[in-house]
Amino acid sequence: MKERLVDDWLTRINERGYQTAFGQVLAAQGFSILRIGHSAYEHGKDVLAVAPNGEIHCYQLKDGDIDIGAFEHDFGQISALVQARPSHPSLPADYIYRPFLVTNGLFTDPALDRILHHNLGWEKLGFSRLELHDGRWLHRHFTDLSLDFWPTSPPDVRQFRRLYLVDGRGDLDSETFARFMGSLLPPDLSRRELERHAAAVNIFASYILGEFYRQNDHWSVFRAWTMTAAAIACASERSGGANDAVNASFTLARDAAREALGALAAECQDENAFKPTHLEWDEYTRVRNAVAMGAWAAWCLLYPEDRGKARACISMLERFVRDGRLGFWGESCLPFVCALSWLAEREGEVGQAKRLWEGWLQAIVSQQQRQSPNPLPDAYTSAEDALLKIADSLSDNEPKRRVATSSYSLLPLVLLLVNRNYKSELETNWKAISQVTLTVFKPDDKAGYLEWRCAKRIGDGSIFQATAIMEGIGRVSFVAQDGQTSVCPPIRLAISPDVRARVFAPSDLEYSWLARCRLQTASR
Amino acid sequence: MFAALGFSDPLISQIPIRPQKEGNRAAVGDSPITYRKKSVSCKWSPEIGRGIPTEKFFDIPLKLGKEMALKQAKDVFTLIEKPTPHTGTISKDEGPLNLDLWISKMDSFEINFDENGVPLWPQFFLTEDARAEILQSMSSPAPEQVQKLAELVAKKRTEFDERETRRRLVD
Repeated sequence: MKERLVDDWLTRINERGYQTAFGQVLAAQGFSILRIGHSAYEHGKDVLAVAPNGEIHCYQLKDGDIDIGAFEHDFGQISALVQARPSHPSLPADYIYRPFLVTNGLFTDPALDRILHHNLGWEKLGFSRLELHDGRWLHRHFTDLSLDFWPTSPPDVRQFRRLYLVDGRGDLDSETFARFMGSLLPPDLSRRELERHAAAVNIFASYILGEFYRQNDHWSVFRAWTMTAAAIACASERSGGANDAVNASFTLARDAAREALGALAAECQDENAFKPTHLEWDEYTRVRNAVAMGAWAAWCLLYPEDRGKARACISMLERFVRDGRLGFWGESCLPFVCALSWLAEREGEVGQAKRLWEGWLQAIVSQQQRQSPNPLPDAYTSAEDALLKIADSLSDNEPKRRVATSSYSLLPLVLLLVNRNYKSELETNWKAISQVTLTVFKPDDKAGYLEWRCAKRIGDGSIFQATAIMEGIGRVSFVAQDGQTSVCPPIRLAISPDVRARVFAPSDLEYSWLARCRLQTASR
Repeated sequence: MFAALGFSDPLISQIPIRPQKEGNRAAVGDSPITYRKKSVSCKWSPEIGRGIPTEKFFDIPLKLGKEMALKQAKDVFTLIEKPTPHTGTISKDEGPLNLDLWISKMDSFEINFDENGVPLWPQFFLTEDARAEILQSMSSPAPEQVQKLAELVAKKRTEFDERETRRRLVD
């Protein structure tokens, strides 16, 4: 059954869908992966790796059977793969270069004969011969890496089946995916065991994401690889530190997430991508706009050199803010607000960023009071669940009961505002701010930040001390439930030129808060 | 195709679809039914980053449901205007109430048969005079009348067998 499933996956997947698993196979063989992905500057080299013996191997990945027609169609790329030596800062001045053509299908006999003849010509000209890996080679190596880790207990088999049999159109079940990752990376692994488990995790994630790659569901692919990388990092932290092999597995998962984010950002550049294709509830459309814009902004923050895309993103942001086209569904959208605001600040649109911060602050202080009848969904509620709750509430005419409410995002938000010297905005809202209970997520160990569901943690309820900020914005303190007063991490507010320059740029402190908020969302 | 959160509204995607797989004819009880497809639709012009406003969105299924109900009701009334093969009337101006008239009337009726192959004739509601009149006619049938009755039963049995053969349940 396992072999047939791998076979089924291999025949349906495209080249992007198996590239991370392929990189994992190389990493397991001791290769060091220097680059993996597709770009205009790859020159036929989708994967660039250093072999254990020091040779430089480059791979061009294809999907499907390669016959004469397909070979001739891609001959330009294949020639570039063979004839143009790779360039990378990590490459030595002199090295042995070996090009490979890889497909998940088979090479037909005429195509093999054509390649044989080209190889004779290339060798006469002093180039390396083109080597081939077909679907059978991939099947054997993928199976070898994952063989010992196939789920055997009925719950795990059910989980895997549920994750594998999907439409690949927005139906990634994050909860089940996280549980399945947890079953592949149990606690208390030795470092040696962790290497094999981490490799298997990437292979299984590739199996699960096959249909999402086929359907170009970049958001689901991004989420799944981010969770995979976090699961590997968490297991590595708990096993007492990573080695090169585990680092390679983590890097492959992280890079796959980054590539999916880039694909989503590229898709966002066409404004028609934001046009609904079916009958669609406007609240859903607005929420999707916010998610897509946040992801696009995050990509622009990661790649500041691409100013064109950043300007396009800001232009779309202005349009959506003006028309009320962004729907922020609850506390778990703080990372999206941050990404958009930070990008706006970086691009000089400080007013736009301030509107977003202030809007978010107003939402928190008006709806997250301690006994709010209509609180925002908490940080553990996904956008889709929040929308379903809104839809349910439309037909619910019963008077709303007041519920105990606290805010996960108010503390980082206040710190962000303090860091920008928005004193008057804070003073205006301070009474309401000081009446909101704050929740701060604290796992027992730092690996807990990387878990989807962190079992060993405490949620610390605190409130801001009402008078402190009125006395001076530089001294923000808050009172914990046990009455203990603590001062927030130091915040620079001196108005010196260098600090002034930092005011409108995300600081290390802010990034750490963003990370914590994102992980709060992830660690249920 | 946009893939940020999925490709369609989660509310729309949760509406179950039950395809009709058995063609457009079926028999319910004794009567064959011909299904005719009825559809209703709504139009909406999508704009960039803009879905259907809440009130309108939730009004769409209501509106479509009403339209469908109206179409179905119209068909029901059209159907019930047609005479049913299970009932009929005999009036005096059609001639004397005798076995010949009865046989000719039965020709347009659907006749079922029990498990022993005996015809299940429909019930008649008659005045005392009319009852006496037809009983008188039936008490001494002519050989031609017996022959016509036998032909009628044979014809009705064939029709009954055909109905039973094509009878099937609809999903």
